[in-house]
Amino acid sequence: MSFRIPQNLDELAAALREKDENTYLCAGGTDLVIHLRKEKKFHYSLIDLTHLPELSQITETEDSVIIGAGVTMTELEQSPLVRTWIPALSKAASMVGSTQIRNRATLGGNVANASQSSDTTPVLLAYGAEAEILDGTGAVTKRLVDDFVEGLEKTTLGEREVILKFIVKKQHVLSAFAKVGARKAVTISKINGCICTEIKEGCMMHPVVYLGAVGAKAGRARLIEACLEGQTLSGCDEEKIRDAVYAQIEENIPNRPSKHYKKSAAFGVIDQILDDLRRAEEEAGR
Amino acid sequence: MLLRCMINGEQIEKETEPTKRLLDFLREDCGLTGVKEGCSEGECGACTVLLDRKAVTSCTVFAGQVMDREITTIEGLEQNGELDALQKAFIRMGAVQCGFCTPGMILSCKALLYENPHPTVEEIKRAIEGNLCRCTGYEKIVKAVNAVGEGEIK
Amino acid sequence: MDTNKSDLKYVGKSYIREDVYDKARGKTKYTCDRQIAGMLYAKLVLSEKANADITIRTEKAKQVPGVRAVFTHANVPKIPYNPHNWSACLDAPMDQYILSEKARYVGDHLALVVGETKAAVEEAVSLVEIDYDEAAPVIGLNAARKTEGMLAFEKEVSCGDYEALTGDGEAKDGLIVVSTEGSTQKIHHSAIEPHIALSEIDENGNLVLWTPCQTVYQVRYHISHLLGIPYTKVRVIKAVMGGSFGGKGQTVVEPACAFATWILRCPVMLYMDRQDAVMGTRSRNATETRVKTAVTRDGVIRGRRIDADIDGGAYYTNASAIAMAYCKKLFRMYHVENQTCHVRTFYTNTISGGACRGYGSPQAHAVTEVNLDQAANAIGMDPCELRLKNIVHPMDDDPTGGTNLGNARIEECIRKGMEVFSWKEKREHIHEKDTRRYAYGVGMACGAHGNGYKGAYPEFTNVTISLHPDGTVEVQIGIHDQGCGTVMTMQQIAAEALHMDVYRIKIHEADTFITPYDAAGTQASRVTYVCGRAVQKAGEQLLDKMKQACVEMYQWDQDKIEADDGILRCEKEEKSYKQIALDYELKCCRYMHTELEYEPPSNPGTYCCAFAEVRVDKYTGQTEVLDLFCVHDVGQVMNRTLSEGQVEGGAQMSLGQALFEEISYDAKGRVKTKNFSKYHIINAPDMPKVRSIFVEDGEPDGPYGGKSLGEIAAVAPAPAVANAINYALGSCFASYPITPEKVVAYLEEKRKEGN
Repeated sequence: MSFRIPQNLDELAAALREKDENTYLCAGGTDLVIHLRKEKKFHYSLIDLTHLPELSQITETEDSVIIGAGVTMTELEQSPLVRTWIPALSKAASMVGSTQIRNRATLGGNVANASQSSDTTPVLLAYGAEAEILDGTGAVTKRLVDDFVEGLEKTTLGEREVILKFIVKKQHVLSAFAKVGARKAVTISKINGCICTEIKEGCMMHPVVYLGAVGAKAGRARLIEACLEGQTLSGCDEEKIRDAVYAQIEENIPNRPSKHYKKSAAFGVIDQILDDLRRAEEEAGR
Repeated sequence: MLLRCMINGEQIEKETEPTKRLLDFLREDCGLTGVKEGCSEGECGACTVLLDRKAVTSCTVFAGQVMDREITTIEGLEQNGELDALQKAFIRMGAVQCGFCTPGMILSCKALLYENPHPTVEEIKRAIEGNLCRCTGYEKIVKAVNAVGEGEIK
Repeated sequence: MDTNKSDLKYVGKSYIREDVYDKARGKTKYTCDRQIAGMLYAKLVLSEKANADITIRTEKAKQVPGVRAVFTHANVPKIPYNPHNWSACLDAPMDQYILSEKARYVGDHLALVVGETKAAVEEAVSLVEIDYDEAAPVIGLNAARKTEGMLAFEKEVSCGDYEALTGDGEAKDGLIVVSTEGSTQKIHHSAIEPHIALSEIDENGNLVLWTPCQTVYQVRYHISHLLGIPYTKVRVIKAVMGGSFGGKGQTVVEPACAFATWILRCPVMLYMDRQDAVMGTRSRNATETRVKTAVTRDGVIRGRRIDADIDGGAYYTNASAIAMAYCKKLFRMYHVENQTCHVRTFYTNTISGGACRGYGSPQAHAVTEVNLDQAANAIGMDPCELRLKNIVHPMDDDPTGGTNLGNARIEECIRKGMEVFSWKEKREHIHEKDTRRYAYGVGMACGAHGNGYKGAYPEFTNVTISLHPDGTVEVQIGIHDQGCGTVMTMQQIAAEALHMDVYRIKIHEADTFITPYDAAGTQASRVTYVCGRAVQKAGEQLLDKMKQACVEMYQWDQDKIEADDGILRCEKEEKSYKQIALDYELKCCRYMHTELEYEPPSNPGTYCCAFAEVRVDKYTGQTEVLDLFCVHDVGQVMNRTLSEGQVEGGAQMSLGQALFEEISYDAKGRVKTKNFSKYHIINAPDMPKVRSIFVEDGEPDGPYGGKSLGEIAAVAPAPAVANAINYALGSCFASYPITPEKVVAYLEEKRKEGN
């Protein structure tokens, strides 16, 4: 049993090189501790990821926002950069777990754990986010989040790979996120969603819609996108949207008994998102 | 591992098993039994402590992760024998019943007041959303924090 | 009442409890915080199967370094007990052992691991190998009804003749019969402190056990009975309790803890984690109810029939008690000439039933109160008016021969509630708030509860009260503060009786070596009414004795002696209590104390009603309670802050019943809600503001007019919310919890009908 606290990327790469099957990467720990208890693991080694300055920053370049994998939900929620460029991510982060959990849980952890109910993943997918990944040799590669997240607690990340940061292109779009859980706050998503759309003359252009918790991983909701394309935010046809959402859920989870509830709840999610987009548009217009 | 950190204002160095939970380190190694365990998975908030002045559930943090960090437990809120305003408010306003959630509850509120000295009722409720209480219905807890925020209790 | 309310100097005021200082500082030692040199830790191994013969192999577990013992059924005494029986004189069937010989539910206690550290114990628990030879489990009431041999208890209680009234299902005399079916769920008490006990053998060879329990005498009885140790060598001490709500009310982990200590001759702390507590203790009994109410067009309830089935779980525990408790309350709420209540309790392969705040009332009123709203609907009458027309009145008799209802002030509760909540106006205009997405509704409901065991079980208590030569007073009575401030309540009552400073009175909590015997412990809503009254009387008795002593010692005129703030005065002379105690010992050669055995003469009803406003999200099915207003008939408030605290906390629990909480099982009997991530108790954002009003008309035999509150506070909010949702949606939900899934399913059905 060992406990490594790498302080820089070289030390991190060195730790990865020696990592065995019984060694876990630990960022906020909010999922890992529960996982180890559930699996009844009592003897294990850890590589701590919370002492790496490189992982804990949010920065920008001319065309991108760069978010360290160790950035916490609280930091995402409060970051002016994220709020400006990826408002849906800020919103999603604000709805993860409780205040205590948001103070620890990280974006990297939320993505790498690949829960089907992850709140941040649908947003990253809607924005086409990329990640920088470090391996034991010290090499850094860039991959689309969509390419390595498989869902149901699985990713294609290697045993000795760790996410360093996420890169989100700056886009002139509006975005919003909403979720429905068992209760108002501190709840796992039964369904969540993100819409990311350009607005031209009040109309949604090329809206990208992702729904989470209706499949192994958050998935693109093309039927809903088609329905929203070209519609104005102020004059959405409610019944048409309802039909599209219901059809989308039917397509996603035709055999799950929960589909009956999720259809209506997903409609609630989309309705909420459109409402938030409307407000965002009004604010932008002012 | 020789764990180095600041606990309740005091720099400490202690030999401990870094893969144990921060909760166990504080209770067993440091004798800080004001930290309570209620669910063991970060859902009830009874084990809440401040980590660099932010509220975290100490059952979901590994002891080794607090290396060079600053921890505050309920035992660290008193200053020279004088209770923190939140403690006074909880006592005076009936916010404590069985008391098992109280240390975590107070610390969540302390973290809130560090960032936001005059919170609204909604903000108070959000700060304690991760602290479950079965006795009080939260009503008097919210009132107590509000009284501190409004400067009624110092 | 003995005392005019305006004369009360201590009772009713918001004194600050003495225990909260250390609680707010994190200094209070709960059982989990105690350390005894050489102490071992112990944890139960719970069954993972609902119905199976078992073979247990402990070799691997025993190999974990630091593990001292692994016990199974083979090691424990083959003596059965029923943890529900709180005295040796009770006779509910005894059908469980310290460790079970067979798995009867997921959570059954199959083995006990004892070791030097928690880490060793945890690892060893995971290494206890259990082979299960499974049989089909019986999960839920539907399955129980279809399976032979599952009926544990059955009873029919009635007054008048409901059947004659309605004939063969045909209502007579223009009566309208309104039927409602519904259910309530298994609920986890969710005290934030999980179950725990700590025991050791003291220097005199006594077994000493600290436990956050509700009845030390019950725990002593069980330990003595199971381990063959005489009562005189078992010391059970009520420890600081991190909440109970009935969950720690029946013996749970104490016998196994005591057993380990007795065998290993070491101090042992037996602890549970949250999952253990959810799965392996006791729960509120789930129920299914069918109710038919026969009402006249002008709102007189002529008859009612209630058929209730109760899920008793894997062991007998409270199978009969819960059924009777459920029944009785329904005869003490409304005046119904012809009423039959038929109850059955079934065994199932799930967690056993046990005490839970309200004991039967939250179940009894859950469906019947929805039924009343449906009846009001059927005859086009306001639900409050219908209730007012049928409600019981002060000093009514119980139609089934139970104790008199006493000063039952439910009418006043309803009228006050209607006024302050603006019931009529809200009811008329609430739908104007409706939007495309949200539906609004208001609803109300009533509840009844008791004040102890008088009329059902032995009901008495004992008090010893002493005045010390430093002027402080010590009261010994077997009470258990569950966190709600019972100790302060008793201090205030004693202060009132003795005319002295609340904080100079010490009330000991129950300790079988220190406090005198109490018949039933801190349960059944008996503490304020029974124990409180006993403290009042004992205090008055002591004061009389002090006055008598003054007559003897100072030749005072007895009729002219007055007590005030720790001083007795007679004309111009005065003596402090301290002086009197000193003089008494010196001059009269005795210590200033008195004893009292108290049996209450009555067991009146306690009443409440709740008014709720809700907003239902028609898309997500989520209900938000926007406003909750509770009116309680308490006779006399003991401590206003604490009373409000009871109402607010009770509401949290009742709203959880209404909307979120349920220990749910899959078809194989596995628990789906093992922790707070799945078992949702209401957190701060979902908790509405709770407003409370108290009707204080004085209960004749209560302490200064007081009666029970803590349990009934968890009764009415749930059906009030159900009625509010039904008013919002036009639905008839009577099955709890009313989840978003149920709401959406209802609305989808309605939408399809609309198309």
